[in-house]
Formats: sequence, structure tokens, C-alpha cells
Amino acid sequence: MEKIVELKNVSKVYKIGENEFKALDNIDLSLNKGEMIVILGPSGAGKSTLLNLIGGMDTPTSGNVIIDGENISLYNENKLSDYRAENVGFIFQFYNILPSLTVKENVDLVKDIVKNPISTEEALKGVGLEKHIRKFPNQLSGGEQQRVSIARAIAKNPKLLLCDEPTGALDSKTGVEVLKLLRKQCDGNNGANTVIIVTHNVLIADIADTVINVKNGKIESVVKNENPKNIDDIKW
Amino acid sequence: MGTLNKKILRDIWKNKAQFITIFLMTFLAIFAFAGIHGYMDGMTYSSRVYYENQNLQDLWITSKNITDEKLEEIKKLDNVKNAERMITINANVIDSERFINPLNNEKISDLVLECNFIETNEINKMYLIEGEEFSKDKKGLWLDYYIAKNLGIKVGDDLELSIEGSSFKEKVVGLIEVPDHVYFIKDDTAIFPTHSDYGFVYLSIDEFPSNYIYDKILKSDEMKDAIDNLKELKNKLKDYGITDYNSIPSMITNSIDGIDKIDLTKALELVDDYDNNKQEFIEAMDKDFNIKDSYIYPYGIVDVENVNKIDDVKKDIKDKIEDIVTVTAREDNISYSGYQREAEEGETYSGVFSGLFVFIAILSVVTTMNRFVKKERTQIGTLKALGIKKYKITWMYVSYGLFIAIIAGILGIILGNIAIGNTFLEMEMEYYEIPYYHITTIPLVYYVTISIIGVITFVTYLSCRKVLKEPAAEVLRIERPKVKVRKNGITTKKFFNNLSLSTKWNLRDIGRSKARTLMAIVRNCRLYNACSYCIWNVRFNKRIYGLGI
Ligand SMILES: Nc1ncnc2c1ncn2[C@@H]1O[C@H](COP(=O)(O)OP(=O)(O)OP(=O)(O)O)[C@@H](O)[C@H]1O
Ligand SMILES: [Mg+2]
Repeated sequence: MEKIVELKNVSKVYKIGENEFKALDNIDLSLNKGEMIVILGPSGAGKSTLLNLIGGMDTPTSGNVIIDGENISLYNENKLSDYRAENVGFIFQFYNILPSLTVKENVDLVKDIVKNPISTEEALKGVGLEKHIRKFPNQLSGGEQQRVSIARAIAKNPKLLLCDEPTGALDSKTGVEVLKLLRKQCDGNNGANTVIIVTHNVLIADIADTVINVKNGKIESVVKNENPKNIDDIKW
Repeated sequence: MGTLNKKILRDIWKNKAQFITIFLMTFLAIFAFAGIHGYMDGMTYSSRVYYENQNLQDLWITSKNITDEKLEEIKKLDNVKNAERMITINANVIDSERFINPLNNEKISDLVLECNFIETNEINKMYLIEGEEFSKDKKGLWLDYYIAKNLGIKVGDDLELSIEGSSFKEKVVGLIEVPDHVYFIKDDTAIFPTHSDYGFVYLSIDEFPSNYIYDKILKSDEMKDAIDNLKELKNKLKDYGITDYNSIPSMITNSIDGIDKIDLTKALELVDDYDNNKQEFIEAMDKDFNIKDSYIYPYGIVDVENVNKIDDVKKDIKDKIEDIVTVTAREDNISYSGYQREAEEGETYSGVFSGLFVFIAILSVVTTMNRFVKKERTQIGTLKALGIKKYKITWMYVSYGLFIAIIAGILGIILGNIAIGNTFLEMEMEYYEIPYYHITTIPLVYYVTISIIGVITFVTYLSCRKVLKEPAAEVLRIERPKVKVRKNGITTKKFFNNLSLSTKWNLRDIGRSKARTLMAIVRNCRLYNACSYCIWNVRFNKRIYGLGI
């Protein structure tokens, strides 16, 4: 299997005043291309920190983060910005779509950033929002807003789709719809796209190809799921 | 970045109150500066052009008497282009009560006109508003346009003037303004020219009232002695029984000194009633008498070739020409320097007002942008996560400040010139006599405007730099903002700790609530209004004071 993410000896230390806090402690990890990966763990375990390092949102205190063969821990801010633009789509718990732009405009943003984006219309059709393109975020439900953020992420056609608690603020029915969209992104494009989902919802782990357990800044286990469940079969 | 621009414009619109504050303060700073400078520099520039066109003198001379010879000598000095002389003397207008002072509607009890009797008018040339050009052969007088306008005197009107009791009548042939009479006051007690009871006129030297000269001659000691002698002679002749003055024995006439210059017959006939035949009597007493020889020219004006060598010319005149009392340059001339001072007076206001508003503008930029960026913190994080480069996001926020400042700057210059510049210039020119004038914008105004725009933009940049500098992950952390709030405020900046308690208090206050910031700004606006009212008041008082009301 081709590796998309490789972490070697990665630590992340936060300084809080005089004290140091190890959010990630000497982590080694490699993830396969084209998989749907779920990162599980209790609150404060270091899940978001891990995801941010993979997404080039932050740099490790020590160790190397290698994405598709490129060591991004050596990148400066400007190169990280390019890396995020071309390779990474983020989906956040609280959607983070821009409130003063319409649905269409939120997705249009991608056009200014990426060289070969998927068209806004196609991306919004993909998430079933083609009827709402003129609405502003505050005129949408939570699930719809999260779909806008997914459309914005997939419009970039990114190698990595990184989702931090994407269903955390949604009820189960809309949660399932969102997961379906993420799975679709993973399965499409001839298996070139990798989706990483951070959650503490154990049920979601059942639909993943690989499940990673994080605890106290360390990887506790990496479990391969031979037969991922169909999304329609999970409930919470 | 089309979509981002849309976002920016909508966000500004949502926060318009604060951005209007920034705009207004920046605008007022430039408005005040450009406006005050517009009229100041307009005054300076207009006078410069006027002085140049009318060839204002470089030097003023006072002398016991600038005779024909001395005038020629002055003209021949190195670096002197031309020189003229004149008799300047105050005259009272007889029957001045027929004129009404338009400012207080009272009859003018005493109207004084400074009379300038001149030979030529190459230097300090009159600017003719109405009537005929000056010429030495022309009768009549050229009258101060401002007083003519105020008192309703027209070309063709007659004025009867009296110089120390010698009266003469002249027709007004022209209304003029003269470059060395721009700022023209009666004496040091008058602060502002009133143009209602004191003015100036120009006349040909040939119009100088001869009675004035005759009186001076007849009252001189020599003449008084001569008259006494003559009367004595007349009495003696009477004793001898000689009544036919054509046949006075030569024995008598020969004993009189300089008899060949005297028309004795006529002199004896007129001596008892010489007051009614002044000219004939004086001519009888001196057959060579020419009134021109009796003129005394106390004033001279000089046009210099190269003004850089003016001090040499000054020295030359003092050293080489006899009987010179003073030689003064433009800087020591009341009209020139009085006007110049007025033109420069605005400098202080312009600095104070602009400084005040720039300061308030900076404070509003700091508070508004800090608040704004904090409010948009998550959005900034999102844009960063999307991969938009830092400089683009920075530019997006900095461009708020920049565009607001640019628009404020352009409007400030235009409206400042119209509203302050024109108004004040018109007001000034009611007192200063300059025939043509307009507001002027000197490069400094543009430089200052650009600097203010630069400062506002830079402060905008500083205000949002902090959030933009953090790593994207940091900005997006949900729990962080609450902890961070204080850190971004100006109240935690280093310089803040060096300020006095009350300043700190105020700054913290400003930092705390929008409503308060606005209130404070409104208060400052009122302060400005109060100040501008003061300027008006001072000016107005000057007027009133000048009028002696
Ligand atoms: N900027 C920071 N400064 C200080 N400590 C930090 C910072 N970011 C994260 N941490 C700490 O690092 C640890 C891991 O944080 P992280 O956000 O990765 O946890 P998480 O597993 O995502 O938890 P949750 O499920 O609650 O989101 C936490 O204890 C957190 O307090
Ligand atoms: Mg987290």
C-alpha cells in the first residue's frame, strides 16, 4: 500500500508559562493512501494536535511529518500555506464557513486558492445544496452548514480531507449524511483521496478502514478494519 | 481575490459605525490641515504674485530731503534698478460727515486720507480697479478702492482735502490698490484695517497744494524778517513822500541786498495784503522762485536688481547718500510683514487640529481593528486553513485602513480647501487689499496627507498583526479567544505602562465599550467646534476692536 502520511518521532510541546506540556509524545505513524481513517481518543488526548500537524496547520516541536514523500516539517509558513491550499481540505466541528458570504461564495473562495478546483456547482451538487446557493449561512441548518464546509473542502479535490469532529454538532440523521459524503470523497477519484476523521464517537470507528487510538499524547493502537460497516447500519 | 473583497465590504458595512469614526477623524485631520493651509498658502502665494506683478519696492528710504541730485545718485548705485521719491502726508477730508460708516451706520466724524504725491509710478505700481491710468500730467486723485467701496465714493466724485489748513479740491479719477498698502492701519493702536475712516490716495506731485508751500515760506523766519524790513521801507518811503514805487531812488534800492532778485515795486504794493496774494507776493520777493524747488521729499522707494545683495545696497545708500535717516527692507515694513504674519498665523492651528484628529483616528483604528480582528479570529483561522497566504489576509485587513484613509484624504483636501480655505481667504481679504487671490495647495499638504494615510494604514497593520502572526492551529482553537482577549488590547502594550494613571484609565475605557468611544469622539468633535468658534470669535473681535466699538 502507498503511504500518504508518515510521522517519525513527532513530538509537540506546548509552553504554558513556565511549564511545558507534551501534547504529542514521540509518535511514529504511517497512513495508507485512499483509506478512511478514524482517530479516536478521550478529550485532551492530542487528536486535534495530531490532525493539525498532518494538515500543516502547525509545526512539530521535534520529528518529521512526511506527506506524500515531502517532509513538511521543514516548510516555512509560506510553503505550508501552499501545501494546505493544494493538498488539504479541512472540515471543523463548528463548520467555520464565512458568515458574510453566501453558500456559493463560500465555495467560490477555493477558486482563488487552488489551481484546478472542482466547479462550485458540481461541489454543491455533490452535497445536495444546489438549491441553496444564494442563502447566507445563518439561513441554513447545522447539517446544511456542515455540507457547505464539505463542499468547500472537496471543491479543492484535496489529497487529504481532514475532519475534526465533523459530526460533533449534528444529530445522528444529519451526521450519517455527512459521513456518507466523506466516504464518497474517499471512494471516489480512484482511491487517490484519503479521509482522516477525528472523533470520540466510537461508533464512527466501525465504518473506517483504519482506527487509531490516541491516549495521553501517544498512539495506543492502530487497528485495521477488514470489513468496514455500511454507514446506514450505524446509529447513535 | 474577488470573493474576499466581497467579504470585506460586507464586514465593513456591518461594522460601519466604527469605520465611520476612523474615516471621520482621518478626514477631519486632513480637512483641517488642508483647509487652513489652503488659505494660508493662498494668502502667501497671491501676495507673492501681486508683489511681483506690481513691482513692490525692495527698500523704503526716509530722508531729510531726497533732492533731484540725491535721487540720481541713488539710481546710479550698484545693483539698484530704479528709485522713486514722494511726499506722503495725511489730509483730512472736509465735510466727512456726509459719509456713513457701513459697519456701524454712523456718520464719519474724521476721515483721514494718506496722500502720496508722486512723480512716476514704475515701482510699487498702482493696480487700477476702475478709472484712468496714472500719469504725472493728470489732475485728480487715485483713491484706495476699499475705502471707496465702503463709503460709496465713485470715480468722478469730488473730494475736498485739507493739509494742515491748506485745502484743495480733487476729482476722483481712479480707484486703486497698491502693493505696499496691503495691510494699512492708521497707527499702532489699530489692529485691523477698517477701511472706513482711514485710507490712502495717490496724486501727481504737480497737484501738491501750493498754498501749503506758500504758507510754509511766509511763516519762515527769513521771510518774516524780510516782510518786516519791507514794511519798514514802505513806511520810510511814505515819510519821504514817495508813493510811486516805480521811481524809488537808486540810492535806496542799491542799499538792498540781492535787489536784482526782487520785484520791489510789486512787493511793496502787496506787502500789506500778502495773505490774499501769496503766490504773487512770493514771486515778487524772489523773481527766480519756482515752487518745485521748495518741495521736500522725505520718502523714497528702491527697486533692487538682485535681492540677495540687498544688504549691500542698504549699506551703500546709508554710507554714500547724504541725509538718509532710515533704509528698511520688506521684512521691516508694516504692510508686508503684517500681512505675512497673518498668513502664517494658521500654521499653529493646522498643526494642533490635525495632530488632535490624527491622534483620535489612531486610537479609533487601534480599538476598532483590534476588536474587529478578534471578532473575525475564527474566520482568519479558516482562511489560513484554506491555504490563503498570510500577506493576502493581512492586506485584506490593512486595505480597510488604507482605503478609508485614502478616501478621507481626498475628500479632506477637496472639502478643506472649499469649506475652510475659501471661507477664511475671503474673510481675510476683506481686510487685506489684494486684488486677485485664490487658495493654493502646496506639496507639503500632499506629503502630510500621504503621511497620515501611511500612519493610519500602518496602525491598522499593527493592530491585526498579532492575530495574523499566530499559527493557523492556534487561531482556530476554540477555547483560546477568551483567555487571549486582554492580550491583544492596547492596555497590555508596553508603552501603556509608562502612561499616567488617568491616561491609562481613559485608554482602558476606550478599549472597553464602543458606545463610550463614540461618545468620547463626539465630545472631541465638540471640542473642535468650540475651538473653531474661538477662531471666528478672535477674528470677529479683531474687527470689532479695530472699529473701536
Ligand atoms: N496552544 C496550546 N497551548 C497549550 N496547551 C495546548 C495547546 N493546544 C493544545 N493544548 C493541550 O494539548 C492537549 C491536547 O490537545 P488536543 O486539542 O489535541 O486534544 P484533543 O484530543 O483534540 O481533545 P478534544 O477531544 O477535547 O478536542 C490538551 O491537554 C490541550 O490542553
Ligand atoms: Mg480536539
